[in-house]
Amino acid sequence: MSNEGQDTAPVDGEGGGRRRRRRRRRRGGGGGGEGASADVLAPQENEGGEGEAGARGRRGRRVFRDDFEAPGAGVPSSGKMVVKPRVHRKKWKPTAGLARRRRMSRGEIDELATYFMKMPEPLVHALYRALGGQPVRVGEHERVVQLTVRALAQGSRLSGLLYQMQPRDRQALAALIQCGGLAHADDFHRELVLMLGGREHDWVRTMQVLADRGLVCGSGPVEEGFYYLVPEPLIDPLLEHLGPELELPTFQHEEIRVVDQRPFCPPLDFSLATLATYMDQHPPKLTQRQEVFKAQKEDLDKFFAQLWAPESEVFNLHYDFLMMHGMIELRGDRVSVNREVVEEWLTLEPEDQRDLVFRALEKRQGMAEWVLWAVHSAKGEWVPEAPLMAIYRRWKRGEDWRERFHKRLYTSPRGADREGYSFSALTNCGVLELGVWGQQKFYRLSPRGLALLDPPDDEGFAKFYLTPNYEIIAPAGLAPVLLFRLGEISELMGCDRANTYKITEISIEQALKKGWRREELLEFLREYSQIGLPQNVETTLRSWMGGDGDVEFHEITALTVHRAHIKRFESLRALRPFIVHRFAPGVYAVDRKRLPEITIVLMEAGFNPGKEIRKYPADDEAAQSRERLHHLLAEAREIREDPVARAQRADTLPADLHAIPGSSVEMQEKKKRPPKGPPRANPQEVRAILEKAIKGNLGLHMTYHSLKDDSRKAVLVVPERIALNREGAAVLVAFDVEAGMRLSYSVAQIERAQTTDGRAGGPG
Amino acid sequence: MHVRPDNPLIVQGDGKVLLETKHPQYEGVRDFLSRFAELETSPEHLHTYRIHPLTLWNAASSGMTKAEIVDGLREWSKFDVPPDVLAQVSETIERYGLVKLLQHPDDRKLLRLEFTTAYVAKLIGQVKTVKELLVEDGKRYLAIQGGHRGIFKQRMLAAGWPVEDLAGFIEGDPLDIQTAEVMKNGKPFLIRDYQRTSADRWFQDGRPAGGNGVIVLPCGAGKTIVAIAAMAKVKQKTLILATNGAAVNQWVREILDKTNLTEGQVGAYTGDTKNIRDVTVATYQILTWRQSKEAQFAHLHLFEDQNWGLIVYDEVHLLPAPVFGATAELQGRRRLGLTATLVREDGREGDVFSLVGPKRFDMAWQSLEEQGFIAEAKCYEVRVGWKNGAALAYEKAREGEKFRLAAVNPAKLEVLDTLLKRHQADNVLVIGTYLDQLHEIARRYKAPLITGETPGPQRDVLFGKFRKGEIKLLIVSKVANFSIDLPDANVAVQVSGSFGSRQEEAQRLGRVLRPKKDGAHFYSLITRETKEQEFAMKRQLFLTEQGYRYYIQEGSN
Repeated sequence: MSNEGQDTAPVDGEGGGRRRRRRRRRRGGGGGGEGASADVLAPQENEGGEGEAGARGRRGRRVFRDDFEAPGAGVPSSGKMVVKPRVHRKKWKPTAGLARRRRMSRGEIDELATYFMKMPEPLVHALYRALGGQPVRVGEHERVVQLTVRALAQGSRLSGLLYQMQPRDRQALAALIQCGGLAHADDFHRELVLMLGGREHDWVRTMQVLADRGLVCGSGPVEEGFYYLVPEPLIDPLLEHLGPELELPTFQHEEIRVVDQRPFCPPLDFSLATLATYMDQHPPKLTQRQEVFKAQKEDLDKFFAQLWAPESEVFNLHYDFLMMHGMIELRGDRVSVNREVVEEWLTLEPEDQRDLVFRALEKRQGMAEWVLWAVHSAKGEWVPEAPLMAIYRRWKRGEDWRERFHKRLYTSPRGADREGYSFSALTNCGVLELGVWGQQKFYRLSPRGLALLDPPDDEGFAKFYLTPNYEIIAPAGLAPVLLFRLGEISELMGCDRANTYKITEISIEQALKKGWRREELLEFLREYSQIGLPQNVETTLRSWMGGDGDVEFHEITALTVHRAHIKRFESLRALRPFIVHRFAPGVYAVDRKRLPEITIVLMEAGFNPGKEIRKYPADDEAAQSRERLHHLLAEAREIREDPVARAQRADTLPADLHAIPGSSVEMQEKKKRPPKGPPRANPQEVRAILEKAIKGNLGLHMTYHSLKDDSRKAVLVVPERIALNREGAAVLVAFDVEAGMRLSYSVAQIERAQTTDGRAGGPG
Repeated sequence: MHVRPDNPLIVQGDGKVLLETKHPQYEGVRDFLSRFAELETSPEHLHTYRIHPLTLWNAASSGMTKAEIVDGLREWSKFDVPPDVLAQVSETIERYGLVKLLQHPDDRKLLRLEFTTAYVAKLIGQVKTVKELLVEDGKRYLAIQGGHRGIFKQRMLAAGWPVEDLAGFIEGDPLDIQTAEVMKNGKPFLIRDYQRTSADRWFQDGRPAGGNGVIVLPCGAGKTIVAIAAMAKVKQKTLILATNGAAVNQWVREILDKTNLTEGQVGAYTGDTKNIRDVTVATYQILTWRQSKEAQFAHLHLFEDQNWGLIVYDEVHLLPAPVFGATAELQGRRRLGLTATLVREDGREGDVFSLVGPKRFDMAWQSLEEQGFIAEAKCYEVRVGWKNGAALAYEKAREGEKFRLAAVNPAKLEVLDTLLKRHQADNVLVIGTYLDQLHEIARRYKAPLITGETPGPQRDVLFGKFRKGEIKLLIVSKVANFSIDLPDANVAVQVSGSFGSRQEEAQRLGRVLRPKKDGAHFYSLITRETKEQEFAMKRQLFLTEQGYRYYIQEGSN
């Protein structure tokens, strides 16, 4: 390959897989590695010290993590937090650079000393000698170790040593570190020949030189062969000083042609949320081979034409990702979206989302994450294929050697030294871009890949546009959970730099079926629309939604937290999986089947969960007693009267007024006098009469005082029962014979009542 | 993905461009966009433009370069401009000018074609629809008949080959026409900037690339003035086609008021009077009148009677089908189309563009409202319920009857009472479609009614009284939908409409858009939960897309 226009990516904190290692350490709580320079190495994570061993798998992968630093409110599937979570850069982005000369901490120095004390004396002495010391003059081994550690702690001694070395020695050492600090000797010689040319015996000599300087050790004298090993505590200091040898070359030329470049390459969370919405609104049907039917696939590809070409692997990545994580699943012969899972995924922290994406990519290309970080170290420039492939081969072979070493297999595996690798899986998935210039191939991160590794803090879009013509324009960069929720209430019309949605009567009907409630929906639009909720849209939505669902019943197991502990509770990420809904801060719905697990997690986190589950009502008897109390209360309300008012009313009731006998109006009075009603009764008497009538199935004459127009009516009714109205007052439900319908009468307003002899005729 | 959220544009992959109207640089970006993209919808806060070949070729014909467009889009876009769009802009603009139409040096009946390369000529020769129009012009050239100019350009456009028409126009008889400095009422006559710009964009300094096309401006924005400005630029005899007799009279009044022409130079050609003068204003109706279905159109000769230098089509969206044919033969003459709503319910907007010319200028209603050139309008949809068992009659009615029943719902009158009471100090137009209903309203309020049956002179008298303020309430049928200038009307109540017709809604609203201090109110009375409400939804969408503020209210409130 021509070196014209070639440049090299600087080795600093931005570099490759090292970043991942760094991030793990921090998040894993390990103290080591702080400040070591970055490179494109990742396999050497296997050399992780004791402090990390518990939290990682064999390849330095995290097996579990339970001590996240991030507080952040726990957001369950209710998705209350719909703003895009901010990226906590400091949590994973290394800030170290070559320029930073780190001082070792006391703990690190002790750790190093302990390691050297366990090493064979001659190896430590060789290292000390290489660093400029004279072990013969020191005498005691313990003192030699102390001085070696001190020399290493001064960065300049090691850099001086490396500076004095031949370039080929440094290159060999760098290659060994790229292999993870461990390599089979014979194979490694061949690898060096392949990489740098020369003859095997020259490289044997080079490795001996490195061994003489105490930088490389062997695995022990075994006839079949042996392994070169770099003492683990030396790795970090060496990384710091071997920058130029470790970095990947870069290339830039304006005529590099990008192969299969898509016009729009948004972050994965945007396209995943949009695809999930599309599938929710147009559930694709699958063939017997579990593939989307051709016609539907064509529609889908047409809809997402800005994101992927027909038959593209990008779609498969999206589809598999959704399927793998349970965001979509097959129900019958159609794909169905699990909305809660999608929402949960969308509210995860960006780092967690990325880990899941990396996991999906790993299935397509081993060590995908490391490759991406390595390419990322070129800072947007092109990385030639050959060196990238070479370093990938060393990673792969390093993995293989490590495995054999742990199995005590000392024979040379051979065979893999000329194996070719391809990154087409990553380019096809749209996270890497393949560039071609003449016969040469180059790689760089696509905007999608870049957004995955280096998510922007904030794209500046917190709200969408809702226009009075019922259209919603949601630019890419809006919180994906917001996009997904928009898809629940409106029809997705287009996927582009700004997704377009349309609110229709049908979409609103669907939203109601999905659990949206009127006020919730309106509030959502009001809150996240840049221009608020236009009056015509609000009125129309209200008319479409009607009044259903203002009040709802829930069957839940609720978990409540004292307000003093809410913040701590919500920051506890281990609890997230158990919380199925967050009603308000401090009130959550949890999965009742998992109560024992929740209790354990709570206790581990220092909470004291109550032993009993509080019941509402506490027990049946208590409930009955409570009901009784309410009945008594209703009765008490009935007979509650203002004595003064009663006295006045008793004296002045117009029905009780009569003309004085013998007066001139007596005759007229006689003519106009209404038919005499039943006898007057006080409320207790009325109640007794009513109960008697109901029990005896008797008709009832009564005088009812209507408060509406302050009139008194004589009615004949067939009483059915006494009930409570919404104010808690007793009412008589009775069939009004004259009106021919069932009515209710407030018991307190019945002034006169008398049962009839027989049943006066009811509704039947 | 490079994002610049502070920029005002979002350029979509399909050529749609979204523009934030509240952005501080909105006006500059709008002017930039309007030169090569078409304004599709203009709801509040976010306007949608579309870039398509026609608009790009129009831009190219006005001298806009590819680099100007690309650089502008890149500068103002929030996201990276889609490569597809850049490629479209580039390829489309590069195509312009590959085929030129020139005057034939020897034969006046022919127009010669000039191709940039022989390969282009070969490709054009393969376009079936165009091939039949081509005429051999010696061994080296191809030509078309002069009468095929319009249809040739139309077909070439459809095939993706925009023709640079350099054949020029037939020069009409000269006419010394100038805009007046002072109007009859003594006030100075000033042409607004946007009116001048639209006339300039149409005329293009007399270059062959200009001289035809459509100007789209909201009702009340002064399209007549634009036509007068265009006439003053062309300075040739002019034929103006308008929608009805009242509109013709209005045109005559305006021309006499705002130009130096005298009454002897301006004539009306309608059913009542048939004066052909230097500037003649005719109705579409008279042009398409014939004695029987089989007979010839008796007045189409008007196009040929004079050597017109300019033909103005008022409310060009109403261009009747017979006039299409006549217009196709008039491609050699300058043509100006004016409209507020270039939507046709028959979907033939494309034909209008290809025959009269491309859209030369378009301005959102909001921009004019902000500048105070048209009234601040509020649209209200008032929903009315049924009364006295009418709902049952509605439910029982046949599907075809339902819309009518809902439209003439008697309960609307109660709401009308309230509205008229609220606006008793205003000049109110009550507009409807169903005559029975309008007669009842006229009786109820003892107000004058104008329908199709009202004789022209009587209409003019009533409109005149309304303008003077002698009548505060006027009931009108759909005869008043177009071209009637009632500057003082500030409230319109639409009691019934025609099945969600978008242009009818916009035109009726246009009656109250003439600028006034207290703004304008436009009420549509709709019977709740009926067919009428369904159609009202379509009109609502149209009006909101145009940027009008739309409120929905309950009649009971």
